[in-house]
Amino acid sequence: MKRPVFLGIAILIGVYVFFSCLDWNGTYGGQRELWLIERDFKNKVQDKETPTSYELEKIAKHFRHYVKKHSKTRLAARAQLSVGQVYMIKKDFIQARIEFAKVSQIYAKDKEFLAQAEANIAETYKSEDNWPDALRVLQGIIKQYPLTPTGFSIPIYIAKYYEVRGYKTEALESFERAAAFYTDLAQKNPKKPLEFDSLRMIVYCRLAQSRWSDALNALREMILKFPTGSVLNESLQVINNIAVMKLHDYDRAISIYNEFLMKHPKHPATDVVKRMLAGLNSLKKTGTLISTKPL
Amino acid sequence: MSRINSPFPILRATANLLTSHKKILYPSLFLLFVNLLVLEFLYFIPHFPLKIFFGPLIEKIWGESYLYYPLDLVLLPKLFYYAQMVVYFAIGSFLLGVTVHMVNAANNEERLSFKNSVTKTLPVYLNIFLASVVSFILFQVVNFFLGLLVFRAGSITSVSPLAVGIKKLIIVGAPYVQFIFGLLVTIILAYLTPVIVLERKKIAQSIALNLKTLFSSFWLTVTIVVIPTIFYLPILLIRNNIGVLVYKTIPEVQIAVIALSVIATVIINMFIMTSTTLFYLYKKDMQ
Repeated sequence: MKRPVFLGIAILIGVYVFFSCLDWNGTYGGQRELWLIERDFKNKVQDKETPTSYELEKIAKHFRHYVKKHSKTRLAARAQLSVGQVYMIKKDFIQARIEFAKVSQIYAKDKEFLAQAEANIAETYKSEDNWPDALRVLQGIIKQYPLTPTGFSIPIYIAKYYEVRGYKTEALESFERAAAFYTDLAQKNPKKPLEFDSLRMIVYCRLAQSRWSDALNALREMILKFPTGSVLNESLQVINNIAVMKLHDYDRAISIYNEFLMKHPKHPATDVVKRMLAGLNSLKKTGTLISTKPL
Repeated sequence: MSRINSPFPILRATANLLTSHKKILYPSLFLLFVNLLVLEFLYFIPHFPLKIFFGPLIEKIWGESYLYYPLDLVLLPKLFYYAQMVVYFAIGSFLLGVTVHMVNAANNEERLSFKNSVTKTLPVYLNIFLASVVSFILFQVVNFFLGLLVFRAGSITSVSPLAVGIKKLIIVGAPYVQFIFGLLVTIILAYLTPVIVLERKKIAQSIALNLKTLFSSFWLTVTIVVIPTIFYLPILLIRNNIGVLVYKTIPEVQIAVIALSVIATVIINMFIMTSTTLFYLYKKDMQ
């Protein structure tokens, strides 16, 4: 009885040791170690009482130790970003910028990390009420890393900065520049997910600018090229709202829907589109005008 | 031979048999070993070199983040659930059949041999497999109605205290109701494997004989099945609160909970199978 039990346990231990040895130089152990430090950091920040300077220094020390141990790796770059964030919480923005700048020396292969480091530098300037320097850094990200998730979101971020603070002219100009940026990306990346994302951003910009006709054009392009999932339903709804309530031009929506049915006759959404067409035709026939509501 | 009206003589006899004939534990120990080996293997999927083969599959189905710590451990229970089903259909149910054979041999005071019992049970492998399929289908059918109930509860929009209370009761209580359904299925098919192994009958005849045996001593069977299963409740409680446990400790605690759950399940199933087999043999002797 004892022998088979011991044999089973020995095999289980042996398999564990075998696979652990194979992954000796792998990143899994490093991922775990970093996650535990990050959790500690997150817990300290989430505590109701603000972490003391000593506690933050201690966390920074752990991250630095990690960076040293796993130098020149992707995970080390992530840890270095966290070092900068610790100093941001400490409101030591100068030190935070120094730490963020180190990311490129640790791991320059991942452009997203570099873009994130730069975006964090911009955030430190913003926290110091130094928008011109923040803007300079943000524009640098757009130029250097336009295809990273962070770089992709920056043009909208800048425009929203102005919009939220009520700088209407600057906001409109920024949305215009953002729309131009996304149009360029969409044209350079046809049939790729990036084109879809860019078209969505163009719609967002045009809606923010109240340029309804341009928004309809972008939506038309989007649903004809990428008729996918919940975004399609959402887009159809927005097309209806713009055509009926903003432009009072039923023909625009009717023409888009007819084009959709011709291009995608077997699409699961054809019934919905047909119902929408019937509704629009009926409204058009009776000449009903639906009053404008804010979108 | 006196008539048995209480489950305790049966449960006592089961405990005695398992302690005096430890070889009966072999099939369950082997099943436990296979399950733990599978768990270990699944744990190492996000590690080199298994990641090379399985990484793309996981990435495609669940997303890349599930290949990294700690989300890989969130996916582990799900992966293990699927793997456990395969193990159960392929060898788990068969090994329970082997246990039945060994219990019968011990009851007849024959020499116990794991190898011999495997050889003797092998001809009825297909029927045992079909029995596990029947049990699975039955459980899924019952579970389907529970799913409908939970879905309906989820769509309750009323904010009245009664409606909120009912909604909460159904959603929070669903895993426990599922547990009771599992228990019901085990009770309904309690004698199926013993009948297949000992009587060598085909699946339809075995189901009929199983039901006949069950309804001739329904409450006794219920208690024989329920008493050992109660020991699984603390584990169910832990499993349902795994999020809190992970938050308070480390994500690896999931592995320990899965392992604990496997150990408990295998032991409980073995105990139930031994008890029902002994009771079935007793009833046969009485006739």
